[in-house]
Amino acid sequence: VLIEHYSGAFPVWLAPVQAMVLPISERHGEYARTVHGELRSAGVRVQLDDRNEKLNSRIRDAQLQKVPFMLVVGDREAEAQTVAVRRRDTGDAGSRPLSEFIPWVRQLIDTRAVTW
Amino acid sequence: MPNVQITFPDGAIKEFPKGITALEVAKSIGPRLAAEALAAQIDGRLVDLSSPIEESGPLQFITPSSPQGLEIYRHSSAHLLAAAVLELFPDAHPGVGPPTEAGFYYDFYREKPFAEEDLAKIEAKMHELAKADLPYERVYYPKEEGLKLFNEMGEFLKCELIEEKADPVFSAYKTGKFLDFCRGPHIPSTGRIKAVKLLSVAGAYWKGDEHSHPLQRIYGTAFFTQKELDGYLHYLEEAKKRDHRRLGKDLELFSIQDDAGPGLIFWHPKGGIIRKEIEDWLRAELLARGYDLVFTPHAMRLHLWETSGHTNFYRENMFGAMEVEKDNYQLKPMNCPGHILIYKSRLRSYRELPLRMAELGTVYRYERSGVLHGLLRVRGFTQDDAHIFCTPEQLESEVQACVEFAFAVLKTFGFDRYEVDLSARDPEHMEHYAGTVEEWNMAEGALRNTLKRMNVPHKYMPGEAVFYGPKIDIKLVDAIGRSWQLTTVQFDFNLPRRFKLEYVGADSHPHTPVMVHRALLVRSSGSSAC
Repeated sequence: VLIEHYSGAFPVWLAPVQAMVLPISERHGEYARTVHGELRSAGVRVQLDDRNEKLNSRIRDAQLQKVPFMLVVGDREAEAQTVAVRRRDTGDAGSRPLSEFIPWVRQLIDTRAVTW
Repeated sequence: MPNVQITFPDGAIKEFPKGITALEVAKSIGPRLAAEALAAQIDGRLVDLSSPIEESGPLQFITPSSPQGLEIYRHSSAHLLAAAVLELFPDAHPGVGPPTEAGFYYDFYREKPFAEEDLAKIEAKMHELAKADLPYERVYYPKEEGLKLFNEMGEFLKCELIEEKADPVFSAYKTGKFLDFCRGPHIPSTGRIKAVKLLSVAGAYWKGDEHSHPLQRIYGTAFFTQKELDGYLHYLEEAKKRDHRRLGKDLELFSIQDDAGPGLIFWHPKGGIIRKEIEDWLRAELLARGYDLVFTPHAMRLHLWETSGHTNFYRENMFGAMEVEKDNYQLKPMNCPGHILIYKSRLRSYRELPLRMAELGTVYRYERSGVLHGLLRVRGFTQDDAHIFCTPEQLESEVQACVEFAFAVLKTFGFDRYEVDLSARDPEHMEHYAGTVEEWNMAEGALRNTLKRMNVPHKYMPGEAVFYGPKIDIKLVDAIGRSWQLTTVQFDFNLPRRFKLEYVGADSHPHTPVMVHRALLVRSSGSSAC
């Protein structure tokens, strides 16, 4: 019933994968792994998709899996210690410092937010 | 010619010549009513508009806005379907074709299966026949003569029905080439059918018996307007997109495997984590609400289920017993007897009550393979099952706590609509029920008072209770308006007696505790759940 009610797009606390880290190219692998590690230590279910595929097709895959947040990281993000947030429902949501994104997601999980 | 006096729903009484048809009466009232009327109700009986009125009495017209209107319209649509099929496929033999909650179907016996393209052809023919505005002509046959006729037509399925069910003189309806043994009523003519759509074709068996003739069942639906039909088709499309069986596969949440058997669920890592999250939340919530968590075995002696009475009233939903060391064991279809054994493990005092025992209990229930459906109808599932043992004085507050718990669930999972049903006894037949009149009064009173005090709108359904006690069902309404059972708060006057449950009251005397089953079916995260 829940699967059908949410049409598979579960709220963050229930989503099997809560965030997907997507490095733009191989060069950004190191920063991507940092982001991945920090989210994982914060107890967020996070995956890293650094397959040798175009960014757009990796975004599409994460979208199909209904992952609530896709975090795109490139030069600018690595430089500023931010993540470019893409929501599964409304798309591009701008850049946020990693230090702000983590507590925000934590809060969505802890309060079992249905919308955000 | 003598007259008849007809009483209308608004109380007006008018005189008409005896034998006038309902349609003529409608015409005398106004052309709009005559155009809208589908059928009539004379003295409580549903009849065709063409029926003559022979006696004085009440008359009411069935229109699209009447509760019976859509059912009659869809029944007539089913006849239209059969008429179209017989035009195109003379080798098809009609079985039965009733209206359903969402439309109608007609079963046919035909050696060659109907293909998808056939459905489109049949539908086009239906539209053509609707345009031709064929009447639904009611005819009568003496049983023998009728049988002979249907026999000559080769309609062996209809003959079987006539043999079994027909009165000495029976009615039939003729629509184009299609003649059906049918009680009716029907709409006046096919031209009334404005929005009809065939949906699918599936296998069925004559009389639902898998050893009998295999049939092909064509499903369709009909509405009074194209707009309503479009709305329904859009809803079907949405429901298909959301089908959990498809999402479960695409998102790798769960599977059902042939090697393991139908109706048994494998939760894959992604579904497993969802289940874990729900169970963690649920356990924390249960503890915070004063429940105790217990675990009970999955298989227990058959004897226990004889004591509880399940081998009588629940037998058909139980797996067969298995023999272990010459003793019979039963996979549990319910958790109650296990919790009762914990209650009974020692003497209980009124000071310990209420005792609320909860278990995310996995139960196994036999369901025919034909009715299994993804996660929704399964043979093994886990539900948040709790049993509350309390004193009569504690009843209302316990019921209220259960209802509040259910609302907390709705809120947590983002449902904002719900429906509540209260099922009570049929007071005329107390002999059907376990427990005394006083107990039923107390329990039904507690359920009603609680809902009233909490201002919860609900539907009161006398006669709907099961034999062992009244209950409240809370159903949630999902994102596309379907309702699903969420929780049941069910009294039980049967098990405490059968197991001789007691507690020592403040008066130092033994008393029988009140037992309440509380199952949160939905998010039990088992398979009935997510």
